[in-house]
Amino acid sequence: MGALGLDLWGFIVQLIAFMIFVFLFWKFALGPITSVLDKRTESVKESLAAAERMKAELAATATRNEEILNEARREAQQIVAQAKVASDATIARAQEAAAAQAGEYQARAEATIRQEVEQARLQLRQEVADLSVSAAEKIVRKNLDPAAQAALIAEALAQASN
Amino acid sequence: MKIHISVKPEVLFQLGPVAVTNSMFTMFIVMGLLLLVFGLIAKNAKPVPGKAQGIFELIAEFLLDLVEGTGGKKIGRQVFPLVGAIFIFIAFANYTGILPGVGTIYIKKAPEAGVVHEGEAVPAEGEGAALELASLGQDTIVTAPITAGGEAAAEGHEEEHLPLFRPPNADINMTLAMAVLTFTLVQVAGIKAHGVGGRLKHMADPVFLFPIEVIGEFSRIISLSARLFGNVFAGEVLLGVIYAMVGALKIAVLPLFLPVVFIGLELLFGTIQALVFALLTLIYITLASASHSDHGHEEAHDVAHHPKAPGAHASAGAGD
Repeated sequence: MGALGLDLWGFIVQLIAFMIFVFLFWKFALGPITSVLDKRTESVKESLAAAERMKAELAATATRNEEILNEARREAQQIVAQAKVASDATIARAQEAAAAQAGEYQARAEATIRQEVEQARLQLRQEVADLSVSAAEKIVRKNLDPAAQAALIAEALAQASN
Repeated sequence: MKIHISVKPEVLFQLGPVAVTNSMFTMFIVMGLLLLVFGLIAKNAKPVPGKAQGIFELIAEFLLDLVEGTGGKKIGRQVFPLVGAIFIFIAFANYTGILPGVGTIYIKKAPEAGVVHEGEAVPAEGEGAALELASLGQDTIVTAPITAGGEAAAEGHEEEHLPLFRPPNADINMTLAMAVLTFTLVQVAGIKAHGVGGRLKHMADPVFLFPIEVIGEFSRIISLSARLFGNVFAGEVLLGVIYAMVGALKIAVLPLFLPVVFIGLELLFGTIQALVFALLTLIYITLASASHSDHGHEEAHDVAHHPKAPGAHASAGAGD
């Protein structure tokens, strides 16, 4: 064994040195790097999962947006249709009302005209009576002839009654 | 021209009872640098990695996938500190072998007469070999002359030239220490999963196989340590020989290119050996802590799931 260079003390020193080396190398070099690797693996996994999640969320949001848009479009159409119906109704109502009012106005105007004609006629009769009275007075004052007087009165009355 | 080959690491100086060898010295440098560099990278780690952090993360992720793929999430994470440290340490320790200066920077040291004499009694096994690597079986450091130059051989005995650096895994003590640590943790994992009785029962499934199982368990220490040591040491020898040969050929361009091929090979083998050691550690622990019923299944699963292991093993064996 001596020819190979086996030496107890050398063996012990190198054994202990190697054990210390394994310990120190793990503590200061290999261990920290392994934890860096593990952390990176973990973070990559997490990032991938997060990306997947975001993608799903994005898709969901897009669908929701589309839905909302469709809903809005539908509502808008509905509102336009309703507005059209309402405006048509309003126009029709307004036309009716206008027609009704016009008729009323006409009727009222006709009534007023009729009343005024009546009133004018009454007034005229009154004036005619007054005229006849004043004419009679003039005649009476000029010619106190009862016969003529009576004839005149009768004539005036006949005229007035017309 | 001579090459310096020594199976055992050279002693640089004595520190109490501990003979500080050049491989131990290099081991401390490698460990210190690894802790410093990778520690700094880890300390300054940001969520978005820079270049250095990217490289470290690449290694860590590769190892993490390996342990989790073989041992499952729970056991894989438990053995990851050990397997990761083994892989990174062995790989970078093996890379020191191809650095310029490792094995080529020498310090002078006076010879220890006693050691030299002790070695002379042992018969030389490499006699007649072309490179005269006569010292492999001896207990001493000898520089083997590659040419017939007599003064070089004589010089080796008068004044020793010790390489200051030596790849840590070209030292059987280092690989044995790691193998013993692995073996101990395999037993701890087995006992933790099944209890002492359960572990023994597991090994003595048909009772007469118990001694074989025990031998098998202990043989893992030898196979793990000897495989790594043999490969790294052989790689060192190979590079040394190649450098010496291209140097001796004295053809101007050749030394620039020929070693590059072998340096590339050594880079590959260094990584493969690190992977083999780490993977075997992982598989032993996984098998020891696997439940009884799916023992066979687990084993089949491991081999099927990581065809790299036997493949790498085979190519490493063929290469060195």
